[in-house]
Amino acid sequence: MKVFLIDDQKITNVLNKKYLNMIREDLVIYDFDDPELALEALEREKPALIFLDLNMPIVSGWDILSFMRNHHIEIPVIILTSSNSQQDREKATLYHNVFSFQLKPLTKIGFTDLLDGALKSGNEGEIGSKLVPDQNTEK
Amino acid sequence: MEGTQSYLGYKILFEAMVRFSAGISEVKSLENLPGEISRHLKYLINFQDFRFYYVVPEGMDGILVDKGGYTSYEFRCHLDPNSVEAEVMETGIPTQVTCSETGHQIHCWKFTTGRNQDSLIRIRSQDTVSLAENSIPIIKVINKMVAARVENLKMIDLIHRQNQKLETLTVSLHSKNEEVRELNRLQEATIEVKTARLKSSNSKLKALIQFNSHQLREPLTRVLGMIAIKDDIPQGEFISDILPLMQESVLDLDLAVREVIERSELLKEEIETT
Repeated sequence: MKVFLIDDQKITNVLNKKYLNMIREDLVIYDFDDPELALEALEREKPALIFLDLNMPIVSGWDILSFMRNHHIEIPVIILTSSNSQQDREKATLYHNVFSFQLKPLTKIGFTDLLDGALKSGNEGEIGSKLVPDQNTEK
Repeated sequence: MEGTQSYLGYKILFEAMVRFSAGISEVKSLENLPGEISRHLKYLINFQDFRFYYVVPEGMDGILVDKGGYTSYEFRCHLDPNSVEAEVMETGIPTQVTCSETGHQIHCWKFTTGRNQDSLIRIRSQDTVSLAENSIPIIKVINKMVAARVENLKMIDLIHRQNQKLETLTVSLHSKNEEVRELNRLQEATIEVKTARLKSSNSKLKALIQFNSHQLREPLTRVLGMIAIKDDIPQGEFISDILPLMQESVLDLDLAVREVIERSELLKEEIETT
């Protein structure tokens, strides 16, 4: 399963990649500290899940969400942001493919709960099934 | 024959009276009134000099005309207490005396209108008969005409002065209005400037809040994330992969904290000066 990590801070991508690899072994993780490269790769790679930072220079997380909406790219997004702004939370609900809004830093427990939550809702929704294609590999 | 002569005399007198009346009614100011009287009076009566006093509670004005053409208008004049005029003014009885030096006759009459306005006419004349008898109706008409004209001109004068006062008041009101408008303009300008400053402070405050929310917390979350992963990965991996990146994030955090302090102080100054 392909996962995109989009964050302009390399270290954040490094940390998140380590956590995800700890939790799941079947993930193919692409990390982008340049959001523009992520935009280019989106349609080509068609990832099953995107972890997205909001506050980035030049191309922001919002720009990526708008791009996806304009190009009808239906990939579930988990927002990972350092801001706990209520305004951002409200704005995020306007994008129907955003299914979680998380405050940094997300640790091992945070990632586990997030993937568990996605798994539980997976029986009912499309996002879950995309997120957790193989239950046995879940830790 | 005598009838024709008296008819002719009457006609001449009537003509003279019309000219006198028309002349003084044309006069536009009190100062010009004696000259106009002098021009016409000699056709009405036989006199050496003619004095007319206009008396109201506020004071007395005098008109002087002599046969030689000298004329004057005196505002706020006074009578010599020993004169014939003073005596007639007090008693109201018409008087006729003979001047001991020239032998001229001096006639003096007082007229009362009952409207708080009196007048006095004094005529010095060589004529010993007609003024005392035949000319009395003419003197009465002259008095009425001159008194009415003086009253009229004084009224016009008063209206003029009041108009001038009103004009002065209007001008000063205008300038006051202009001042008030100017003050209002200044006030509005001040309010605009203050509003603009408040708006600018407000948007800077918003920017600062936004900055605190994103730029300040961002390097902090990196540091927190690096600390959190310490127990989840082998120590060697932490030392080789994570620790070298820690310093950069801590420096970023320090920069962000400094910028917050700087921005807050600038904003504080701006708000205090507003």
